[in-house]
Amino acid sequence: MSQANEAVVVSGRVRLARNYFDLPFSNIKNPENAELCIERAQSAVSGEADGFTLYKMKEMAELDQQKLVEKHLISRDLLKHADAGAALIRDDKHVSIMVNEEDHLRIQAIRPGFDLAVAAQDVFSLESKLESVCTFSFDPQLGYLTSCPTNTGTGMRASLMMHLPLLTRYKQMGNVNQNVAKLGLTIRGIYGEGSDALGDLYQVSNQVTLGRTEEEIIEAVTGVGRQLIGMETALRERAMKEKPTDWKDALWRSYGILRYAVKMDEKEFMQHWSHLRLGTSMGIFHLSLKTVDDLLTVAQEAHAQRYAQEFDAIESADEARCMLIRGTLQNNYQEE
Amino acid sequence: MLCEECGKNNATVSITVTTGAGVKTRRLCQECMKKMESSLAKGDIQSFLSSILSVLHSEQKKETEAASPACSGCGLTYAEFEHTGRLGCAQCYRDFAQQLQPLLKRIHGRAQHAGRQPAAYEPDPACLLDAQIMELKQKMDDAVAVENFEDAAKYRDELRALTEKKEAANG
Repeated sequence: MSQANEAVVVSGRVRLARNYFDLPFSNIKNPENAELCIERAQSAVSGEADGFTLYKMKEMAELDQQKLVEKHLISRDLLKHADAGAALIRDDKHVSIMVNEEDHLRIQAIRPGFDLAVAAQDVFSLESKLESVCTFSFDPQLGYLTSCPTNTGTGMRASLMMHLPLLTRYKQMGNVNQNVAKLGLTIRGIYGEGSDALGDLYQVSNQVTLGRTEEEIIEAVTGVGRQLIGMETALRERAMKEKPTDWKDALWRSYGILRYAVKMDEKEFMQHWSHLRLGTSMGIFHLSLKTVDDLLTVAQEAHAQRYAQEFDAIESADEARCMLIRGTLQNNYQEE
Repeated sequence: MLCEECGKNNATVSITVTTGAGVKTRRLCQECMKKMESSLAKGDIQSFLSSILSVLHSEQKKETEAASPACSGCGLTYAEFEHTGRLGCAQCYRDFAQQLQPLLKRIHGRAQHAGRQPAAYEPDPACLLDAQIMELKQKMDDAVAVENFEDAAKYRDELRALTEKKEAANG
C-alpha cells in the first residue's frame, strides 16, 4: 500500500495560522510591529540545534523569493507584503515559519509522501516553542483568532499534493470536487487558490477549521486522500490492461522529449513531467520518485531563470530548464 | 434632467423597477435605452438587470457604510471587512460578534471551537460555561437533525441546568 501511496501522493503539508495576542493582525502599515513579530519568532528558534535561517523578503532578489515559492517554503501572499515579510526556514527544508503574511505567523511542515500525522507533529512542537515567547490570540468559543474568518478555530490547513493524471484524463475531477466539498474539504491547483492543475497535480485540503479537532481534520483529509489513491490506482491498472501500447507510447514519447529537447517552456514541461511521474510510478522508467519530484522543483520558472543567469552561454530559462532536465535524467537513470 | 446612465444627454425615458428594497425609477436617454434593449434582445438579461440595479446597490452601499460600526480596538469598520474579507484585530471578533456569528456558521457549519488551546491559557469560568452551552446546543441540533430525540432531550435538560447555573452566577 505504501508504494501505491507514493505513486499518487507527492507530499503532505500542515500549516497553522497564529497571531500574537497583544498586536493587531496586520503589520503592513506598522513596520515596528512587523519587526517585533520577526524578533519574537526568531528568538524562539535561535538555538543552534534548532537549525533555522532567517530570510527577510525585502533583502532578497526577486528570483530568490520565487525559488522559495516554488519549493513551497513560502506562499505567494508573503511576497505581496515583501516589505514586512520574513521566513524562518529550517535547514532540512521540512519546516518553515512565515512571519507577517496575512497572520503574524504561519507555521508549516511539509513531508514527502502520505504522512500528515508526522507533519502535524512537526508544526505542533514548533508552535509550543513559538508560544513560549508570547502567547497567541485565543477565544474559548472561536479558538485561535485569525485575520480571515475562514481560518478561525484551529487555524489549521492540512493538505495533500496528489498526482492524478488518470482521474484528470477520464474527466473525473469535477465529480470528485463536488463530493469532496460536501465533506468540508476542497481541491485546488498546486499553488493554492486560483491556480491551474498543472502537471495533473492537485492539493486536497480542509476548508473547515472551526468546530473540529486537529485530529478530525487530519483524518478527513487522509480519508479522502486514501479514496483518491484507490480510484487513481484502479484507473491506472485499467488503462494499462486495455491500451498498454498507447499508454507506453505516450509515456516514452514524453521521456524522449524530456531527455533530448533543447528548449521547453514550463507548461510543456509540466505535461511531460506528469507522464514521467506516471511511468516511474508504474515501473516503466527506472528512476526514483524522489528524482522525479525534485525535478519538479528545479525545472520551475524561477529556478530555471536563476540557472540561466549563472551561465553566459545559456540564452533563456527555457534552455536552462532543458539542461537541468537532461542532466538529471542522464545521471539518475538506472539501466537494467 | 440628464440621463442617469451616461450623464450626458437629456433623459427622455423612465423605467420603474420594483424590488424587495422598494420601487426605483431610472431616467435614461434614448441612446442608453437602446443599448439596454439590444442587450436584452441578445438574451443578455443579466447585463440589462445589473445596469439597472447598480444604482440601487450603490445607494444601499452608501447607507450601510455610513451606519457601519467600527471596531473599538483597531477602528476597522464592518463595511471595510466586507470589502477585504480580513479582520483587523482580536477585538474585531468581539465587536462584530453579532454579524460574524452567522458568517462563521455558514463557513464552518459550526461555531464552537473544538481543537487545541494555548498552553498558558486559563479559561475564565464564565467563558467556559458559555463554551459548554454552545457545545451542548450544537450537540442538540445535531441530534435533532438525525432525529435522535432521546439524546436531544438529554442535551436539552443538561442545557437547561447550565443556563440556570449561568443565570445564578450572573446574580
